Amino acid sequence: MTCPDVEPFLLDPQLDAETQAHLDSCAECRAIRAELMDSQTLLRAHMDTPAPPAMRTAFYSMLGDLQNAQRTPTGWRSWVSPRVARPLRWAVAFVAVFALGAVSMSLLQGRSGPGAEVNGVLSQLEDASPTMRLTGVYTISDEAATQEQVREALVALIQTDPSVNVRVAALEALAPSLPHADVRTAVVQVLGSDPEPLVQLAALRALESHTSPEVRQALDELLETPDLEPLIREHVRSILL
Amino acid sequence: MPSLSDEDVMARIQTGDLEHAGLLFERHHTDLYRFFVHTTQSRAVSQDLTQDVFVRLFAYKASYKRGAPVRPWLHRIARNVLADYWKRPRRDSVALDDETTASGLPSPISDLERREVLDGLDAALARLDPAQRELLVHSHVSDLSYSEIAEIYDITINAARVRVCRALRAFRTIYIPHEVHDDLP
Repeated sequence: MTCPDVEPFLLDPQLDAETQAHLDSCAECRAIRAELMDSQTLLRAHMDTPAPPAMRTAFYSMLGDLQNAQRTPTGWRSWVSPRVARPLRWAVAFVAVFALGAVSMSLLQGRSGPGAEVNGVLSQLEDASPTMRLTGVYTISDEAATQEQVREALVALIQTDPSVNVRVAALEALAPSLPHADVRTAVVQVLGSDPEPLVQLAALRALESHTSPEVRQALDELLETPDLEPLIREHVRSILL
Repeated sequence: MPSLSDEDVMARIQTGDLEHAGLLFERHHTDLYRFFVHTTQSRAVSQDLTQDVFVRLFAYKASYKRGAPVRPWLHRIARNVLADYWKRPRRDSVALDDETTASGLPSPISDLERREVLDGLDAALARLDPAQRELLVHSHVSDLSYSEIAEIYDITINAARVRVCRALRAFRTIYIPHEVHDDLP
């Protein structure tokens, strides 16, 4: 084996017998390999720049837009041409606003205010469309820290909603409410039982600043899971450190 | 239950199922971001370019060959995104030696030395031939295997090995290790 022959293998952590034999007899190749290994270690040790968290928000916002755009027209919109459908939608919206205004006027002394608004959004969380439920979660997320019924609704979503994205959004909305023991327990349960890595990641992000003994135990148990997504394993280890 | 592989997620995206698309982002965005940070020397630009890779992933999902490894495909997109970026007129960007760390938080003093080393490494990378710089970042920052590099650059695995080795040797001739001066206050 000559010096050019060993060049492709100089960075291999384990050398085959032939390459090793050449290195044993060639001081120059030995020196080059040592220098390369040194540079390699230096680069790998120092260039682990973390990605800014804002990138996640931007990505999921784009994904949400794509999902919204992807929704195909259903019902009357599927047989009315888009040129007609848009003005028709505006007309329906216009009539609806007037109708709502009239009803509101007649119920002036009835229940109104933020409570009624929250109730409206809570019913949106049960909508058949995942996009509607997702929008509902985003709308109501600021109320989770102060309103118990909102927290309960979000906890129900993380436990039972069939859409991964809705469960992830609900977990993010619940993150500031982790000081509440019931919320923490629910998030820990989801972490151990939800099969979706994206949901597990969202649960981990919510729990990472609340590493109580109960949480640490759940994380230890999670590490025992066979076939655990490497990304999750890495994240759990970084929290437990 | 084993989680979906990148290839499974991509196959679902091709059929319009975006439910698991976030997995690709979670698994690859850091590597892609690092690739851009160490090739463009700008964190702000790198955020945009990383996002651009995912925009193109959805836009060109039809061009993904079902079953092919996703990681090299993503990094090929990243190379195209970078090439397009270099073609654009230069705009103001936040240099790596700004006042904040990559996390956006002020640098703790204890990180200063580490930061000086990183600055030295980045300065050396910046002086490297662009093709070698890309290759080195792919192999030593994004940690791509020789076979993945071979696929991205459309070369043989042996050629990938030789090119990475030469890029690292070129880097070594440029890089001046940071020295700690004991006499400094």
